[in-house]
Amino acid sequence: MRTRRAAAVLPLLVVLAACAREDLSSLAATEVTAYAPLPGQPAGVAYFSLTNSAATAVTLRQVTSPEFARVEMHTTLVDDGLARMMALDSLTIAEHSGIAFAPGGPHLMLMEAADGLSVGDVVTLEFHFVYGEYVDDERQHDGTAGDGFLAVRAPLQSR
Amino acid sequence: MPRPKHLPTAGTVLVALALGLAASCDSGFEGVPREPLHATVLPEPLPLPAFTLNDEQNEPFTRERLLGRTTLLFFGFTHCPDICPATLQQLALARKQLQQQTAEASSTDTASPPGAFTIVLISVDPERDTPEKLKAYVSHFGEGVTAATGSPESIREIASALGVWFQREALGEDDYTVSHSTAVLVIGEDATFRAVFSAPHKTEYFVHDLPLLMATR
Repeated sequence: MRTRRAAAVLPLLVVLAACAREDLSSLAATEVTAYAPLPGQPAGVAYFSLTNSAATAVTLRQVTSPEFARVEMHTTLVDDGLARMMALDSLTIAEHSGIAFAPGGPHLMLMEAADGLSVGDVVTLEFHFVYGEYVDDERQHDGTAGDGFLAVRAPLQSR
Repeated sequence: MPRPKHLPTAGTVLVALALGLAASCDSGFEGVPREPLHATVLPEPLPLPAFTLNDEQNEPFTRERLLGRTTLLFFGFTHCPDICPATLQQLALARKQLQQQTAEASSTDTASPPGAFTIVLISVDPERDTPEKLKAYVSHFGEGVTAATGSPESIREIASALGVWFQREALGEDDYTVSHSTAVLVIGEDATFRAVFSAPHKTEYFVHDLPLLMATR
């Protein structure tokens, strides 16, 4: 029942609930898919696409979620038939471009789920951006100054 | 008005079109051979060496368990959030689709219908992947999926024999991950390594190629 209600309320791809300390209208998250942890496993996974239509780069510094104590950005590097996973501290999206978090590439690990969270529940992913590009924790260029925050909601799915 | 001699007849055009279509697609015209498009077939089947692992029921999992049934082997681990569940999901879906196709075609009189293969996850993370963990994990993917693991030496032995690589690597200060090959290996009913699917994997790749691979025993 819960699953049906969530599916009815939420469009197939994304529900965006954006609020920003700066204008983030140039940022969009689409095709958000959040998978619940598989049986016996500590982490779920989330995939999505981010597009930046602004004339300046933005850097995704962190993702948080009220439903998960920890959300980590990781990427799977597949090279010559070998898959390696590594943590990402941040990810810069160049101006007028986008990036896909997808199987076999960047993904979010959803860890330490809130008690009682189950498939069909709506989860929120909170993206914390800064304008500009970070290199070694120093902002290299800063188009508009200020940080941004974008929240995306999606139903938790079973694989 | 008589037809100019240099123009082909309608019949000639139709025959040419039919031949062209048959040559340009693999839709199974009578007499046109269909070949795997995505898997790489080994020039000669490679017999698997003897090995001993334990399955998710904590029962011995040996080479003999692979006899009599086509098996798709994938090396991964349950803490892998990305490639491993995605691949197992694709394999399980391919198996289901092929079973449905077989049922609809009512060609179940073959000894080994296309959906009749087993999917085996060999865990390269024996420290965390206990039989209980493996059992819960593979049960999520439905029937026909099993898992096995063993001592690091045993896993490395069978992996090396099949050209599969894996390596434990630190992930942060107190966690680790296991890098590993992404290939799906096709093991024939005689426990020989016959073909390999390389990543990126797609369900439709398995659905297309597996019946052809299984037909050439």
